Amino acid sequence: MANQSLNQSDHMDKLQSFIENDSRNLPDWVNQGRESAFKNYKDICNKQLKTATWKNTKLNSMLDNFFEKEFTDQETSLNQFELDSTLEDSLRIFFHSGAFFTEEEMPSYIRFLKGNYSEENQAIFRLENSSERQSIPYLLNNIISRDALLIETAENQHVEKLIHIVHLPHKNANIAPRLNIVLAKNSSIKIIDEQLSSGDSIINNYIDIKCEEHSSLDYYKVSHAQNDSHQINSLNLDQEANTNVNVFSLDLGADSASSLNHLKLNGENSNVSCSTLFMPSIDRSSHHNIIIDHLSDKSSSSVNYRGIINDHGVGSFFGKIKVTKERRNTSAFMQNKNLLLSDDSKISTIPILEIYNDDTECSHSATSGSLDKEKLFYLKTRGINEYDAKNFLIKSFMDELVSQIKSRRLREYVNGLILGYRKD
Amino acid sequence: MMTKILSIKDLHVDVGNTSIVNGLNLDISSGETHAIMGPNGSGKSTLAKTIAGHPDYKIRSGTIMYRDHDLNDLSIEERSNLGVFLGFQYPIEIPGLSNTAFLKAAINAKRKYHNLGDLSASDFLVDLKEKSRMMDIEQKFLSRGVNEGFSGGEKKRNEILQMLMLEPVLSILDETDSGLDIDSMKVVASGVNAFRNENTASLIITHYERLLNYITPDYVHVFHNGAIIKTGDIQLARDLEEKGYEWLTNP
Repeated sequence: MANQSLNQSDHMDKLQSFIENDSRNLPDWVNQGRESAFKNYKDICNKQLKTATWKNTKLNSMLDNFFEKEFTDQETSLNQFELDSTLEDSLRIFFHSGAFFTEEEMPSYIRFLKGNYSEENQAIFRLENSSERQSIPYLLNNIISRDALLIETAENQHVEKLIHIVHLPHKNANIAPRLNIVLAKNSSIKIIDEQLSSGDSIINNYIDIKCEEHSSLDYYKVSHAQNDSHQINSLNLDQEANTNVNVFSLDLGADSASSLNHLKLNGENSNVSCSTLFMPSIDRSSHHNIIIDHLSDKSSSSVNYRGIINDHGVGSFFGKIKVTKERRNTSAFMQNKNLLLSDDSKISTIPILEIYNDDTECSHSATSGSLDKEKLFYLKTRGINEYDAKNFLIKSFMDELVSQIKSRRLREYVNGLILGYRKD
Repeated sequence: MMTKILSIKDLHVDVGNTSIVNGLNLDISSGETHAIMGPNGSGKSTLAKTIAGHPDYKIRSGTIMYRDHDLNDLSIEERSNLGVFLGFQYPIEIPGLSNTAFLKAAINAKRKYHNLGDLSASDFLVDLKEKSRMMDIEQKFLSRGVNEGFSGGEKKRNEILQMLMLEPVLSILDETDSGLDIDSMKVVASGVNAFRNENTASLIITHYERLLNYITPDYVHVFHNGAIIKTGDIQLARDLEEKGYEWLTNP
């Protein structure tokens, strides 16, 4: 499944040229960050390509084609696109050609990096090379990214309006959007981050979230089916005490789609729930990695990934929950269920618990199989034909996850997207 | 006028390489209620699932005629749409598909099969409300997933609700009484009795006589080794309750 080995020296030479050519209009601190990222990238690239995270993906192929895509940097107008989003009454921010933009007046808690390369933004956008983030996608994002979006709430601020980030369609592009979310003490916000369908593109998203004490975040990542494209979503989350975070992702597949979530529960009573529904079909693939570090007492995590794989689709799940020796009274739940709808669909699943004490409540499970024959029989004995019966069971499988979305309109929105995708 | 609803002739059924039903003959006419009793493993449930069309149950020889149709020629859903209903011994849970949506889909599938338009939402809801009340099923249960989180008794009552909503011609109830307390059994029996009329027929599969105290059958058949070994009336059921199956299966 994995591609031919990468021509390392050629790839690195091209990256070096890219940085040199692209550096002229950028301030020193951005260029220094890029160079530093590039140095680390050269050190880790070859080694990481062989790890379990990447060896079954098409990352090699993505890197091989990295410079065949356009690194566009043009002003974009919404008139170029036909948008049929039905999420009314939300604050919309768009991303295209390497930059975020909006047509609405932005509140003070939302900022764009572009055009504001002041020194203070160096820290705000955290382009530093933290050692734990030395992954291929993170470093590449640092090298390529030209813009970043910062959403930073104030203390005691509860944002009622839904924030809707729309990544507009690209063609033959190489883009690296960067989103930073910082929730101050006792604040809350809901964000939906939606990736519309692109073609022949490389999309390397990096999302960094920090939740200070008593804050609460609902973050939804919705990725439409990407055509002949590579898509990577990396999410890094740090939660302090008494925080609640719900992450829900819908991934309708790309030529190669990957997600890497690293969630850290740093403070007592920090709770995270992370659910993902992935649906690769028609030769698309969807790979998901999640690591949860319970770094505090009384922290809880719930991981629920479901895959529906059809028609030569390939999926994988790797999940690890770590609870260290000193941590007490933690709870962790991890489940991965997969539905294989055709004989040629493939899945691999590895759920791991690393628990080093006995004062924790943990469970994990993984199942993969086709539609339940007895359920199909039951539905048919009520007069429902095979096609409809299968659809009911697939919907039932998905609904157990989607029904956990608390917001009714977002639940309906996600259901609408799934329905539209499945009709296609 | 009584018409023949089900006619089974010399039926042999295999599951995998095992022969379960061996030379069964049974005729059921409209207006009749038949009970099949028998010890565990005698093939009762196999017969029920074979009539409904379960793909794992293969007819090796013999025929099952349902009115003018050879059931072996019909798909599972066609059998249902033509009026065959199977009440499951272990009703299946389908989370995420509400009972209401499921029943509506089932009714409209049948109407479509008979070239009728969808049932209006209001007619459907009126009918559902009345019949769910009869089956002592709370309205809030109808918005839950099919049988999701239902107790054993609730699942069985839900099976009878489905039967009442689908208005079949032939109802086969596979151990509907198992796991029921006496109150639920009375509710289930009232539903089955409400279904009985001169145009319908029932085949009730049970281990025990007690359900038959509430649904009086016209015929009681004793099943053993995949065939009927004795036929009688309600008195036969009472004799079985008193003496067990041994006096018939191992005389």
